[in-house]
Amino acid sequence: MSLFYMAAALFLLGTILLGLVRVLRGPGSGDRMLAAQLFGTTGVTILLLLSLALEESALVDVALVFALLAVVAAVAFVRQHGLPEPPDTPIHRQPPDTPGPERPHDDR
Amino acid sequence: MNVLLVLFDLVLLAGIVGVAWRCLASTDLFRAVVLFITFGLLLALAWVRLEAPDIALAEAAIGAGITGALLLVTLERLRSIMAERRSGRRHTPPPDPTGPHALLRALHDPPPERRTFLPALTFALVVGGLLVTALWHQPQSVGLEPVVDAHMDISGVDHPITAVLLNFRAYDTFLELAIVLIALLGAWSLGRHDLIPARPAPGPILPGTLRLLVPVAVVTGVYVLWAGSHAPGGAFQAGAILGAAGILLVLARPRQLPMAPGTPLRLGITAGVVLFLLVGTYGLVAGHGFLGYADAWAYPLIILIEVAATLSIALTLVALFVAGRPAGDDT
Amino acid sequence: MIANALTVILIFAGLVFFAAGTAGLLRFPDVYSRLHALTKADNVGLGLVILGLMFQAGGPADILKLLLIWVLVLAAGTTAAHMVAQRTWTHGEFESDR
Repeated sequence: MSLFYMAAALFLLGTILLGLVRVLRGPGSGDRMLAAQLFGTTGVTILLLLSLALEESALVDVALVFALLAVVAAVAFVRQHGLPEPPDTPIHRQPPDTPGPERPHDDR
Repeated sequence: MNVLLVLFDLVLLAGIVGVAWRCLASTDLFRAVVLFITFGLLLALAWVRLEAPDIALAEAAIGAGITGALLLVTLERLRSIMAERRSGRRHTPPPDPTGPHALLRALHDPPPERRTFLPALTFALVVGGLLVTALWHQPQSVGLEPVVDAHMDISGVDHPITAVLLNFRAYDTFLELAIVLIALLGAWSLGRHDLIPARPAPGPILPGTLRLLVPVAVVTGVYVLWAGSHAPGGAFQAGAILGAAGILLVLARPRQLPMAPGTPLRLGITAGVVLFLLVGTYGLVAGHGFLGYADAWAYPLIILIEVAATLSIALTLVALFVAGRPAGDDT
Repeated sequence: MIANALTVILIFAGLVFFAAGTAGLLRFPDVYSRLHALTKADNVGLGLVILGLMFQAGGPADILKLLLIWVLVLAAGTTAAHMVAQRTWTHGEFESDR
């Protein structure tokens, strides 16, 4: 059984490394953040599988902490601090083919 | 099983080195931050494979909860500062991220300079050679495990790591707590700082998540602290979890909260060091040596110190994140 | 024996969702589509793996802890997806690969 858990953990580690391509390519910061979010979930799963494969029950606690704090980075990402409220809000958003005169910032 | 373990370790190692390399070489700061968050995740897995679940727990709390948020918020501030400075200059458009060979270019920006190649290679070979030589001649030793195991019955706790941290080598832990405190004093001595502005919640989802996460984080923090006496866990991990919950509240608060009152805040931040020092001095007076405990009192004293240290570490991490002295007590 | 077989089947199904989530992350054309790929891996992939692991759990406390992890990841995934979509929307960073 532990052979199967280990193989599954290895497979998931492979998906993380594959997903890194999205972090490298972007293009937007949202794409990169999403990839990090997926890595967090995959990491939780790897930890749960390893806890059975290595018979180390404390790893479930590590997975619990990762699951608990997975949202903090995403919240920090979206709460734009030190910046004025962008003028490009959905209420007065321009059609996509005529970009606004100035974008608040550029993430690339 | 063994083949799979070796394969897992090799893939993990390749991932860690690769992510670290891309993180350092990245010209896009946001990409570097996301890579650093991923690096923390892989590092936690590496600690698991090194059979150090205590450190994996700390890395999980610090890496997932605190470093990512700290770097992202810093990046935002940096961006607004740089935008002001750059406003006069000509703006060069970034390269097209969807064109041909985009992946190849993403791996190589800026393109490596030819004349830096030889010095870099020489440096890497010299440092690598030194490391290999140093690791080759490791002295044969059994480590401290038998010594710790032989004295577990007088340590007052059932988890060897906690026994070492809070009893056998309490000196180290005491100084670590003092360093955390000094780091905060250093940040405060740089003066005041614009508080992260409160923003109305972008919808019902974020407040709902907060209502679920913050109580669970408090319970988890207390659980990890309690688990420290017999399993991986302890004051640093619990403090980091509670601190991350506090950072989440600072980030997501929909309206301005009243400032923390200065005196209780300072008492809480110094509680760990002060209590540790008091107990240690008492040990010196009572004849157990500095930071020593009477055997019968070891467990309650360790718990007391750990509770105070957890409180201090959590408050210090939030205060470091907010960065800036509490208002209203300049005297 | 039956528990072991169920565990293997459920974890395998979960891995399929993780693979699909990663494939979607890499192949889908824009950030809004990628959100979909991701939440599937979060919700269903981890859910199936945890369901499989429950058959190996030592007692009710372990089962509850596994359930709690799943609920927390669900909450985190929902919130993160919502906020990434919202920031992309308000800051006009949207762009498609095609």
